[in-house]
Amino acid sequence: MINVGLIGCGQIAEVAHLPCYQRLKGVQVVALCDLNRTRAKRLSRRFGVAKIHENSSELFEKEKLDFVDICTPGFTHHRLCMEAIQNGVNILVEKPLALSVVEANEIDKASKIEGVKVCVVHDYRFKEPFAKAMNMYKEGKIGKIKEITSVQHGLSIYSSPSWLWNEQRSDGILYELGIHIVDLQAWFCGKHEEIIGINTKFDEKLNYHTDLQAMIKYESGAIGILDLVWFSSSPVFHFNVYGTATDVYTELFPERFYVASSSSLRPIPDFFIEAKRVLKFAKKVLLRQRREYAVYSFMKLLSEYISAINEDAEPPVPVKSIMNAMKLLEDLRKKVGNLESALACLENG
Amino acid sequence: MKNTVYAVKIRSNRLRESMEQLLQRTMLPTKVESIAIKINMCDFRLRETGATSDPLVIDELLSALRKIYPNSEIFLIENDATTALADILFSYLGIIEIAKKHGANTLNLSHDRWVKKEIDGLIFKKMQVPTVLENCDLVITHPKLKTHGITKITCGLKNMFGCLREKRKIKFHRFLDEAIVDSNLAFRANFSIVDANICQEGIGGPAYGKPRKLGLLIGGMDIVAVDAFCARLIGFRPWFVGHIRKAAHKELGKMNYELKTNMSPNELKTCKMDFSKSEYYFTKLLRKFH
Repeated sequence: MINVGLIGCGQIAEVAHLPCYQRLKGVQVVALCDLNRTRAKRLSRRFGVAKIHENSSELFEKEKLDFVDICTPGFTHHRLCMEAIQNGVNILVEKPLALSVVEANEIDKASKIEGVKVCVVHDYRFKEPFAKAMNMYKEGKIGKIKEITSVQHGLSIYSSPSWLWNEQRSDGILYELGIHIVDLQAWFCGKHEEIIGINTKFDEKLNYHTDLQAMIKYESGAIGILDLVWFSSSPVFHFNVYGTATDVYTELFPERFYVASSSSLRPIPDFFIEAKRVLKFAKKVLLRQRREYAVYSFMKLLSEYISAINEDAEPPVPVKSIMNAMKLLEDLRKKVGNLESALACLENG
Repeated sequence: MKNTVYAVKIRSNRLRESMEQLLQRTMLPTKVESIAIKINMCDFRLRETGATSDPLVIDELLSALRKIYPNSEIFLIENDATTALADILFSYLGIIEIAKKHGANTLNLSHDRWVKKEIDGLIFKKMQVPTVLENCDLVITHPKLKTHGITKITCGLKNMFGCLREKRKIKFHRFLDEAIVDSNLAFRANFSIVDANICQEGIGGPAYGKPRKLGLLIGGMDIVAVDAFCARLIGFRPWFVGHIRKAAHKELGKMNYELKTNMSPNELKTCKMDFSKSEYYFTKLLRKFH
C-alpha cells in the first residue's frame, strides 16, 4: 500500500486529488496538512483520512510517507518541495512547480541528489485531444509543426481562491491561467528561441493583468501564438497545431479533436464527429460519471506516477520535461516587465 | 392603484426623458430623507453584457431622483456574493464616479451594521438585515431584467435576495424560490425600477446569457406586479415562476397588474425575450443527474 500525505486542503484537493485517491486501489491518504484546521477537519471527515497536521514539518516528522501531494498555492511550492526532498519523500506537486527557473532548477538538482521522484501535475498532457495530437505528431502524421495557435480565456479571477487575487504572489495570468497552454506549446515545440512580440493589458481598477498576447519563435522554426484573457465573455480553450502534413484542431469545455482534411467542406464526417462528441458527453452525464470525467486526466497522471514509484521508473511529468515551459514563462514575464517600463518611460517623457 | 406597472419605451436613445417620465408616473412619496437603491452587480461583467447595472441608467436615475429629492441622502447598495466583491465592482463598473457626480454614496452591505429581524418566512424565521435598509425612508430595488438558469427570471424580487448577509449565496440555490421570498419579507423594497434597456436572454443568465436590447424602463410600487409583467416579457405566465407565485401567496404583492405604457399594443408585442424553454427543462433534467 502506498502512503500519501496531502498538503493544502483547498479547492483542487477537494475537487480533484482526494476523490481520485478514493477511487484508486493500492494507495491511501494517511494524513492531511493545512494551516486552516477547520478545513482540514472537514476534508478528513469527508474522505475518511485519520490524521491532520497543521504544518508540513510535523507531517514529515510523524508520518512515514511514500510521497507527498502538494496542493498549496504556487508561491509555496519551492519551499515545500525542498522540505520534502530534505526528508527524502517523493513529490507530486500541483503546477506551477515554482515561480522561477532558478527555483525549479534547485528542486531538480536537489531531488536528483536525494533520489526523490518529483512529478508536476501538468495533467492537460493526459487530456484526450492533446494526447491524441501528440501521438499523431510522434507518428509523423502532422509533419513538421509550422505554427501553434493557443487561446485561453477565463472568467473572473474572483471565483478562484483569494490568494490568486494578489498578482504579486500568484503571478496570475501566466502562472495560473496560462500555465497549461504554455506547457502544451513547449511540449510540442520544444525550446523557444525568442519572443517576437507581446501585448498586455493591465486593469488599474482591478490591479491585475487581464490580457496577454504573444508571438513566440521556437528553435524548431515553429511559431507559437498565445492569447490569454481574464474576465472574458465566455471560457475558451483552443489549441490548434498546424503542420506540414495536416492540421489538428483541439478544444476543451467540452473536448473536441478534429483533424483537417484537404477539402474544406465535408458535412458527413463532421456530422459524425459532432454526434460522437455529444453522445460521449451525454453518456457521462446519464451514467453519473460527469465528475469522474472532469478529472480523468489527473487520474491518469496519478496512476502513472504510482506505477513509477512501485516500479522505480521515471515519473510521467518529471521536472526536466517542464523546463522549456518554465523558461518560456519567465521570459514572457520579463518581456511584460520590459514593455511596461518602456511605456512608463515614454509616458514620463 | 398600487399594482399599476409603468413601462416606458426609450425612444431615440433619450434615456433621460424616459427615466423622468417613468418617475413622474410612479407615485413616489414627496418627503424623503434617505434613499437606498439596491443595484445589481452579480459578476465582473460590463454594461454591454446586460448582466450588471448600467452606469448610464444609474446616472439618469440619480439625476431624476435628485430633481425630486435635492437634499436627500442617497445610497447605492450592493453586497458581496459568491463570485462578486462589491467594493471592487463599484470601481470596476464606474459606479463610484456616477455616485460622486450626484452626491450619492456607494455602500458595500457587508461593511454595514446588521440587526436581527423576525420574519414569518417560508424557511427562515429570523434574518439579519443591514441597518441602512432599516433606516432609509425609501428602498428602491433597481434590477436588470435577465433570464435565470434556475428561477427562469431575475428581476426586482431576486435582486433583493442579493442583500442576504451570507457571501456564498450559492448555497441557497437548492431552495432558491423560498429564499427569495424570505429575503423580500426581511428587506422590503418600496419601489421597483427595472433597467430593461440592455437585457439578457437565454439560459446562460443571470451572468452569461445573451445580451438583448429591449429599450424599456419598467417601474411600479408593487414589486411582485412588476416582476409578473417582466415574466410575461420573457414568455412565462407569472404563476409558473416559483418565486413570483410564492411571493404573491405571502402577500408581498399581486400577480395581477394594470399596465400603463407609452407603447402601442403592436410595439409591446415586439418586446419579447427569448428563453428557450426546451433547453431550460433539459438542463434542469441534467442537473438531477449531477
